[in-house]
Amino acid sequence: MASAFEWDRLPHDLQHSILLRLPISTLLLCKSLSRSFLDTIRSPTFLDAYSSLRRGRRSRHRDDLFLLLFADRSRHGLAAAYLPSRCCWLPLPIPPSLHHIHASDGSLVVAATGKNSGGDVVCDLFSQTLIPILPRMPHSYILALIDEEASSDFRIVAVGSQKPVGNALNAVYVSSQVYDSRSGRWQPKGQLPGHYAMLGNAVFLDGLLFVLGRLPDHLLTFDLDSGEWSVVDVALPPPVFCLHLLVFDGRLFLVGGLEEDVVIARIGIWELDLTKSEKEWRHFCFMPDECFQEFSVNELVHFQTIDRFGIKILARACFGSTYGIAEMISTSPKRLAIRFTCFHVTYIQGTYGQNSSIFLSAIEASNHMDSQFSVSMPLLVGLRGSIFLAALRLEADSTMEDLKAALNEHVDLVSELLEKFSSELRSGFGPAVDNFVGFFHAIDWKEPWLICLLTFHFILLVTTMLSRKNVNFQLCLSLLSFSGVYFAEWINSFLGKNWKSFSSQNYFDPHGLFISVLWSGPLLVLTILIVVNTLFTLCHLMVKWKKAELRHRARLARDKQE
Amino acid sequence: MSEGTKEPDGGEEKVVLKTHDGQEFTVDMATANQSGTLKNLLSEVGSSSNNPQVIPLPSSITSRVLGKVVEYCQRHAAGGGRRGGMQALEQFDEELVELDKDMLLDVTYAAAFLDVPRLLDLTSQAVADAIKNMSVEEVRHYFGVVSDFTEEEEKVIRSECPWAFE
Repeated sequence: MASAFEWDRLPHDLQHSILLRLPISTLLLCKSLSRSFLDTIRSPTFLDAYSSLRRGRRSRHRDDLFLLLFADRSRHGLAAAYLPSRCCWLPLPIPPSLHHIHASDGSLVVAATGKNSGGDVVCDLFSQTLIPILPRMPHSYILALIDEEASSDFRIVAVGSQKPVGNALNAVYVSSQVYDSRSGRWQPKGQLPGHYAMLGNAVFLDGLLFVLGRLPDHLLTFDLDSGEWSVVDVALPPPVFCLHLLVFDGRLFLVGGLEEDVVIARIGIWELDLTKSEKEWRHFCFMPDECFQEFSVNELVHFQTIDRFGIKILARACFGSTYGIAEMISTSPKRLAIRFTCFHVTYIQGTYGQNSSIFLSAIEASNHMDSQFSVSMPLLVGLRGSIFLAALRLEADSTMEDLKAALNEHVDLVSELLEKFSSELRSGFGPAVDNFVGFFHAIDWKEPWLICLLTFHFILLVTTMLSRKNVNFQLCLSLLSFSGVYFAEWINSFLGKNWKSFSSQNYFDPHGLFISVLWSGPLLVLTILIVVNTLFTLCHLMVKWKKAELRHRARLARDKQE
Repeated sequence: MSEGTKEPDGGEEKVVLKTHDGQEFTVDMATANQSGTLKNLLSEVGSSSNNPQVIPLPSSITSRVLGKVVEYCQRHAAGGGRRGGMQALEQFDEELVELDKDMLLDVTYAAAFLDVPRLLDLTSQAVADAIKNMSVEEVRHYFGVVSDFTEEEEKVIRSECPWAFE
């Protein structure tokens, strides 16, 4: 039998085989186990293998971090990643040669290497590998980095005006260029279909890059292959600010804040169905009030959203305090659920407390740094230093989840049926009482004509009781009340037409419920009383008659005897 | 456990795997071919049912461990092509790696030695899953690793990843 297992006894390839399967967070942890772990993980062969395996297969399991990049401009950068499974922040070193991080997708970032803006690199933060790319056109900024699935290739889209920065607002048409890691070249492709004060974030869906153009507000698409820009014919939901596009589960969403009196009153999510010919941002959901209150603290004037693989959102009010996460969960191919949570971040404040010098950039950056501000958004320069971005990723649906969802749907259906059935059973009794109580309360008993009606019934009742000895009178009374009941329908329709002249509301519904209860009902009760009374009288009469007969017979017999 | 589970049928070639502690496992060629190491070995020396090759294995592969590997290979040699069998096979895989730590690492080692790539995948993933949510101390204990950092280095590491030591 083998004794206690020792890691160092394992052959190297076996160590690799195990380490390659670890999620990033555990791998980072393993670095601090011992020297041999550290050496293995730092070895270029391992890093290469890990990087290609992770990116090649796009394993969600391995990429278990939400990335929040902090690029400190004075010193060299440091990235912080949020680890949802442990609710903690992990610092990630950024290679010292990197300066401004422009955009990113997952752990892949585009960054500048030096002071001169020409030399960009693409860096995988986990393997720390650097891939130099050729300089892009001057005065441009990177709009999107697209990390292609199932391969280690990536594409970069940059846009910029050919004119100097000076009067950016008057700049002529903005052109775009695409870098493909396969060819290793920048290629000019396309021109924006108009002038926009700024471009929002870009998301990649079904071969198209969706970009929000602001001022004027348009949803733009860019075909990376043909280089064609086009405007999607859809109006933005009004009046929304702090917009962010995100893709989840192959669907396009928009996150934004609804403004009321200069502050953001609600945060909502809208969805655009791309398959329909008539396009419209359909409201999807709002952040629940209690969550929003926690998120906005006092007044929310601005927030940022980040997502990763469509998950999440993240936003925050003022510098470094609250984050809200909206986690989209696909419960079935047709249904999406969103779970909102809020949390407060202390790590960032505690460790990187010098707010003024911190510039936060991000993975899948939605607002880029300097270059973008200077080229297209001079108005937003004032926000420098308080822009933060974070990247989060979502456990997207797997086949297992689909299966579960289908099962849940079935269970839902069955329980719905059961509930309907049982409520129908219950409705046999409960609602009758409820209806009556409701009916009683619906009537304003102080209306003069109602009081008259009730008095009339009361007088009728008293008359009936007083006249119980007078059978003929009672007969007439019962005939009268019967005719009253008989004419109830006619009375109902007549009064229904003329209710305005005497009543504050129309009690005379076509079904005659009111008239039955307040008119026919009492009259019928009255007639029943009369009938009962008549029966008593009849019995009485019979007894009297029998007595008289007996008495008569006795008298006859007595006469005979005499 | 797998010894003699397959009755030798005439004509089919057999291989005998002999562990260091003297146990012998008789397997057919299809099973043996799941292992890259055995496949190479056998293609060189050849084998027959009348006089099966006896292959001695190193001491690190105990009979218990080899039993697991043989079980895996037999199942996958037989069950791979069956229709509807994939699901059963996946479940079998799942249950196979429900092992204690030492056993799991030994099977991983054996899979690497015998070059059974899919079993290696399976066990490596199981090891990775096992340590996924552990703290540093727990992982050290799991792998029998003693920290060889100096005190200062250890301090730096702890301050870098405070979360890992919770």
